[in-house]
This record gives sequence, structure tokens and C-alpha cells, in this order.
Amino acid sequence: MTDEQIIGMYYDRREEAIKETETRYGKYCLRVADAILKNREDAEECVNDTWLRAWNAIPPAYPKCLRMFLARITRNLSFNRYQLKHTAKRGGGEIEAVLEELEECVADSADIEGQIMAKELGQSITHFVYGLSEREGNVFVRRYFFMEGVAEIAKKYGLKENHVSVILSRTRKALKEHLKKEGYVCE
Amino acid sequence: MSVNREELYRAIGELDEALLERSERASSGKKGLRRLLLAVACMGLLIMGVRETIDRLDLFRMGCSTIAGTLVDGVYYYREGHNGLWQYTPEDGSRKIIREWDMDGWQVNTYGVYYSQGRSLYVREHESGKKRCLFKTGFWESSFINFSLQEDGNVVVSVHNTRKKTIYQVLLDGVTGAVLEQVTDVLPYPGYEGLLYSEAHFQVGDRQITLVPMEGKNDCDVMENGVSLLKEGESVNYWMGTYYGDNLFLRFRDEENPMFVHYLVLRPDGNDSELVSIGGIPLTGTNDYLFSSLDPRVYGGDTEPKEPDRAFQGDMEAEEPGKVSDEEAEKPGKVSESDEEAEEPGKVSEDDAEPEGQDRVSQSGTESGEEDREDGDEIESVGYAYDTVWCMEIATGEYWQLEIEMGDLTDNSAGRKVLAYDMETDGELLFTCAPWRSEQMCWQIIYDEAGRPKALRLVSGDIRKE
Repeated sequence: MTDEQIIGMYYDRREEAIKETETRYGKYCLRVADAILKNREDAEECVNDTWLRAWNAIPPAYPKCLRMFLARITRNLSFNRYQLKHTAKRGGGEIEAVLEELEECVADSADIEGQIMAKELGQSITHFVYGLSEREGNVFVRRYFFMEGVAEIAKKYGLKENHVSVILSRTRKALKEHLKKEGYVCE
Repeated sequence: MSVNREELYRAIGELDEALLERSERASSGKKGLRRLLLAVACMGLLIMGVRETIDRLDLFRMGCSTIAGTLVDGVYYYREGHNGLWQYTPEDGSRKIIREWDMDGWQVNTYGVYYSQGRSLYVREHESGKKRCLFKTGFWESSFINFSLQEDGNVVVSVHNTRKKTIYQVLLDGVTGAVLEQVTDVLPYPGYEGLLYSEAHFQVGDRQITLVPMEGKNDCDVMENGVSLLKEGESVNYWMGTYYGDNLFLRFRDEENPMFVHYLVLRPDGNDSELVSIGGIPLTGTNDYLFSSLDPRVYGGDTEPKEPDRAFQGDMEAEEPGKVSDEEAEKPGKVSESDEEAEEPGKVSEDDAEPEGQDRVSQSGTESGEEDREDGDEIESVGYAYDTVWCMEIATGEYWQLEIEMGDLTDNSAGRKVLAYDMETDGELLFTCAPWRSEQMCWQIIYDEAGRPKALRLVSGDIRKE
């Protein structure tokens, strides 16, 4: 069954759509969630929530790529759960490492003057990533969207780990400049 | 305002799906390898394409000598070095290019122009002017093909495979390209035993002639309907079958001097004969006459043939008018001595004994020409100069020099001189050329009252400049 057929079932409000989605993308979404939460049970719950979110979002949404659409939902749900569980203290794992790295791009402490619309910022970052070379953009996405480790990224793209680290470091600096220029980060 | 790291992380979650998908697809190691392979493949294709293009453009091919073309239905087809295949219509002097690209081989018959390139055979129909592929072999099946047109319009294609070192032949319908039969099984190549179909089968009118190897394929018997056409002890070469007009000339195996070519002449009407062509292999011919550019008397006097009786026609009756007697025939290179013939222009006779100029040979009228050679070196040079045209009557074996009429044409870029290293004729026109020059000269054959060629009159010094 193709993505178009599955989306068609969502539009027809047929519940088989969720089963087909789970069959096709269950393992993939579980991997995305597990990368953030590092906990099988939490990850499975997030994935189950993903199907419900997708059911509610489609229609009116019509994903260009259903897998990425689901990955985004899973990622957000997983991060919400992560924050819920780690409000008191920071934990270890990949998510903490990623957050620490991203901290380089923003202020040392939270200094929110207004409500930031994640979507608006997301569009700005999308614009930023499109401005990178394809390889730099891909490395950035694999690290900060999919939470993949440096070794995994290096293997995926046939690069040395050190090279991946250099790319990420250079990209973070560039992102910081971009965010400053866009007014998301104070000087 | 300033975002914190959690908000930034969440915002990254809003990245464009196309970016996410791109990162999924990309796998640099494999992709890099794929790109490398793709680049290598593209480079290979590019190199092959450039090579093929250069090859077909015929720009850098060495040894591109000029040879005479083919006359079919009054139209002359010829290959112009580095400039494609052309057709020339003498009637109106028009010229048309048939194919700009170079080709491996080409032949013409009344249906069309056939040419091969690589592993494909094409035909360009005369009537429609359309080109189509007649036959093609796969890359692994063959390395290249060549072909020969048959008298009945069919085509024998030789399929060579240099990797496997094999050859086989198929017979095609010359119009549809349908494979009628595999006429030669797959044989090891080179060094195969026996003869290929194209080497062994000839058609003379309605007659089917077959060569059958005797002791090794260099000695073949000539069979028709299961009956040998040769006498006891005779054999022919398998690779020397040549058509002049409608007649098939098979070369006997017995000659030692290459300037005496002893032929068995097979005619459509069955009136076969033998003939010794003095001065080597004729360059062109019709049903009744052969044309050569070497002075037969030089060679005729130089070396005695192995069997003098066959100097003109093996079993000919000397009593017949115009024919040479047995006694006269003992020495090759003899000329007609009848008074009537001697008076005809271009004929060699006793009355025409003195040289008329630098371009004319010494015509002492001696039977052997030995005296001519003793008189000076001039004859030797004439013998190799290719600037005269000689005609031999197939029926009698008599030969004579044709007069050259340059007329008042001033455009003769060949220097107002015949350069007949190669020739082609249909009996009305005769084309001449020299391998190191590009001119194709056109001549009209002038006949005497008895209907025998006596002169060549220049029609065009170079048909390419028409």
C-alpha cells in the first residue's frame, strides 16, 4: 500500500489507516522516539500517541512525505515526554548531549521576552539549513532532528567521526550567527 | 528576546520535510561509490562516443586512398576520401551525397546502396532514398560484420567475433533483411578449414557454380550440377573469383608469373573459355572486353608464360577471323596483325611502329615486344606508368591500346593525363583514378565500326568539380 492510499484512508476516516500506518512505519517511529527517550516503554507510548495525532491532523494536513510527517510528530511527543520526566534534573543520553550542543547557539540562560512561535523559528532554521551544503545540511538534520550519534552519522555518510564533529561545530557557529541576525538571540 | 535550547530543539522539529527526506536518502559512502561508477560509466560512454564519432567522421583514418567506384544503371557511386559516399549522374552531371559518415564497407546493386558499420548492415533504397537497418548483431555475439551482395540480390553477411575468434555466415533477403539461412556454421577464425559460403558459391546468370576444395582450399575444383568444369590436373584459387560484366573469372592455379593471369571464364550462356590476361589482373571489364592500364607487350615479352598455348584462349580456333593462330599464340603479348585492325586507331600494327610521343608506347609491331625493350628504357617506364589504357577482347585474347582524346576540356586537374590505377566501366563510360589523388575522371568509350573500343574521350577531368 502506498502513502497516497494510506492518506486516502485517513481522508475517508477509515480506522484501518492507523493500522496500515503502524504496519508501515511503526518500527521507524519507535526508533525516532527511542533515540530521545532511551526507554522502550516511553517510546512505545509516544508512538501510539503519534497515530492519534496523525488521525487528528489528517485531514486537513496532506503530508508530502508521510514518514517524515510521522517522524516529526513522534519527535515532538518524545521531547515533550522527555521534558516532563526531566524537569527537575538533567539526565544523560543523546538528548542531553544534543541540548548542550544547541546551547552554544543560544543564550546562556533562558531569557524569553515573548512567546516564540516554534513554527516561525522552524521556518527560519529550515531556511538556514537550505543555505548549507547538502552534506552539511544532512549532517545537521541527522544530528539535531533524528538524534543520531556522531559515529552513526559518520558511517552513514562515509566520513570520519572527527570530520562530522568539525562539520557540526562549524554549523552550530553559523546557526548562532543566523539566529542573531534574525533576532532570535541577543547579542 | 532570546530562545533557549529546548525551544531551539523544538523548532528544529519544524524543519521542512524535504530536508528530512533528503538526509534519509543520502548515504555518502554508497552514494559516492554510485557517483564514481556513474562517472566512470559516463566517461566510458563519452570516450566511446568520441571515438565512434571520429571514426565515422573519417578524419584521422590513415591510408584513405582513392579507388574507383561502382556503376549501376548509369549512375556512378564512389567514396570520396574523408568526405563520404557520393553518387554522380553522368547524364546531367549532378552529384549527391549518399552518406556523410564513414563506413566499414559498401556495395551497390540495382535495389540500393548497402553499407556496414560495426555490427550493423544498412541499406539505402535508390527509389525512396530511405535508409534502414537490415541486419544487426549483439555486442556479445560479434565484434564486427562484413558482407557481400549476391547476383540474385541477396546478401551474405559474415559475422566475426574476435573475442571468441569465430566466424559464421548468414544469407539475408536483400530487401527485407530476413535471415534465409545460416549458410556457414560457426568456424574458428582465422585458420578455418574448408570454404566459407561466400568463397565457394557463385551465380552466373542462372548457373550455380560451386568451388570444392581438393588438396587444401587453395586448390579447388569448379562444380556445376555436380559435374567438374575443369580438365584433369587443373584447379583454381578459391579467393580469386571476379565478375567482369556478367561473366565470372576464376583464376587458374598454374601460373607462376603474376603478370600472366590465367582465367577460366564462365558465361551465363554456358559458352565458357579460358583466357590469359597479360599485364596482371584487369582493372575493369564488360561482357566482351577487359581493360587494363599496364602495357601488355612489356610483360608479354619479358617472361614466357608457363603454357604459351593458353596465351590468348586455350582451345580457340585460330582459323576464325580476327583470332590469332596457334603459332602466333606461342608467345604472349601478341597483337592483332590483320591489316584492317592495324589501320584502326589505337590498334598496334606494323604500320604504326614508331612512337608518337612521350605518352605513347613504342609500337614496333613485333610479336613479342623484345625489340622494343632493346631499343631503350622507355618501354619499361611506360609499362609501369599507368598512363595508358589497354583493351583486351575476351573472345579472342587480342589487345590494343586505346587512343586518348582529351578534347578541349581545360578543367582537367589531373594534368591532361590519364591516371588509370583503378578503373570502372559499364561499357559506355569509364572512370579512372589514382590512389594518391582525389580526382575521379570520367571518359566516354568510343567504338569503331566493328563495335570494338578504340578510344577514350574525356567527359570530365574531375567529376567532383561538376
